[in-house]
Amino acid sequence: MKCPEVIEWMHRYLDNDLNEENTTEMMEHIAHCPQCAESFRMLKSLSHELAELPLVNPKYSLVDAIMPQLDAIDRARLEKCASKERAPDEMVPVTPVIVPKRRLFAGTAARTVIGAVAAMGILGVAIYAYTPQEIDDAQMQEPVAKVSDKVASAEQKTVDNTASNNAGISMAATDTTHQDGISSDSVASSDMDQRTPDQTVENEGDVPVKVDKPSELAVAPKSPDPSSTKAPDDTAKQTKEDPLQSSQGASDKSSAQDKSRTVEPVQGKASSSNKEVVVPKDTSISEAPKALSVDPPLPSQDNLMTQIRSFGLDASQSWESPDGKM
Amino acid sequence: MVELGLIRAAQSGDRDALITLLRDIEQHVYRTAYYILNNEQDALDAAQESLIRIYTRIDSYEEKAKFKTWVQRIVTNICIDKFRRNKPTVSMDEHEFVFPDKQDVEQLVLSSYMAEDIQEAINQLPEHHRTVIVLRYIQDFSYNEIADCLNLPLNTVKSYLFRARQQLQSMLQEYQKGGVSG
Repeated sequence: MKCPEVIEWMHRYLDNDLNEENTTEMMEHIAHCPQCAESFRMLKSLSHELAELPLVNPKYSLVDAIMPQLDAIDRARLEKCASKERAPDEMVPVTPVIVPKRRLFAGTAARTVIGAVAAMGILGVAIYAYTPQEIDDAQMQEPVAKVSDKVASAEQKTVDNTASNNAGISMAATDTTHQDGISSDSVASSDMDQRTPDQTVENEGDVPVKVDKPSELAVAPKSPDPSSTKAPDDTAKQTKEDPLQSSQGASDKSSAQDKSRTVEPVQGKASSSNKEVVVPKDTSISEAPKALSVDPPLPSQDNLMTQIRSFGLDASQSWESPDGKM
Repeated sequence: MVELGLIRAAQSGDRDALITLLRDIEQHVYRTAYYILNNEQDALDAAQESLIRIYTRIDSYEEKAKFKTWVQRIVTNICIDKFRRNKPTVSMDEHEFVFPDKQDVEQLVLSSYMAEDIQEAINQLPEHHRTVIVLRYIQDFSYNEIADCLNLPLNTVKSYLFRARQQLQSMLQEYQKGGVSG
């Protein structure tokens, strides 16, 4: 152990930074080294004198002396606070600038929400409104086919009526039996076969023109389920009733034909809108007579009476059971 | 030294607590200033300035540091600034003024003579050595507390203390020789 190291330990010892082991080691060295012992004695004396330095006190209370200054500081702080309080008043025009930013954010959020809701509403309404158009190709095939069937049937009814009315003169002798009706229907269907292809051709020729007018298309398929299905029914009913009216006058015949023609474009539209419909239409034409066979045959001008009779029969049959007389 | 509750009350805006706190520490503040500046009037000024600074900056004190080291840091910073500004004139005045006093006291009481010698020797130390000695012996700080107070590494504090003592020892030996010879 060298003396410089011991002297360093002396300092650490005086500063209470030396552990016991090193202290004993240092003391052993000091006991054998007079120079270090003298140095240690001087250092201890110095440290003792330093520690014994008089604890001087201020001759007056420093806090009391600075109290005016502290009060001045407090007043300055109050003025600062006041100025700060005033500052917001002056800053009020500025804070609204900040607030609108927040409002902008909130507004954008609210607007987006409102816009999203509005868009959802509009989209929902649009979907609800345009569902028929949208699903026209997908789900409307069968309804259109049915419509076309019904239209075809109605058309064929009218055609049958007209044909029967036209051919009724030659076939007037025929009875109002269903078979005769079928035969007449077959004749009528043949007539119609002759007629409808031409009309379909015409309609197909008209197709581009009509396709170019989406409004008509839009009108036709817009409410296919209720109106277009009912409309043919109505027309069919009308055509059913037409013979009753047409039997009274030939003008009604033409009107019936007109109505049948008016119906046909719808069919043409339907067929033009979907060519697959054309196939069921053809099938419907072939199937039409069977369907028409159920309907009461309306062969001739004399059929007015027969129809009345049949209607009466139907009516009587319906009335027969309650009264029991008829 | 100072209750933590008093410090918290002072920080929370309790002016009476803050004043009480300043009264508790004013002696410690003054002693440090006195032994660093080695001049009563400068010490009074520096101590008052330190107390005012503590009064205004009590909010900046964080409890992770010891309050006494925080206070002594303020005092030593102010004293070192003052010491650097006043050093040329004050030291000259003090030297000429104290020297005859020292001789008179030296002849009367040995202990006071030693104290005067030590104070004079401390006054001759470089400012950092002096500050370290003052904190170590006047405030009874440990190495770590001195290091925290002066923002110095621990080994630097140790080396400052060693050198300060050696310088003091050599100066006091010269004074003793001079005193004996004189």
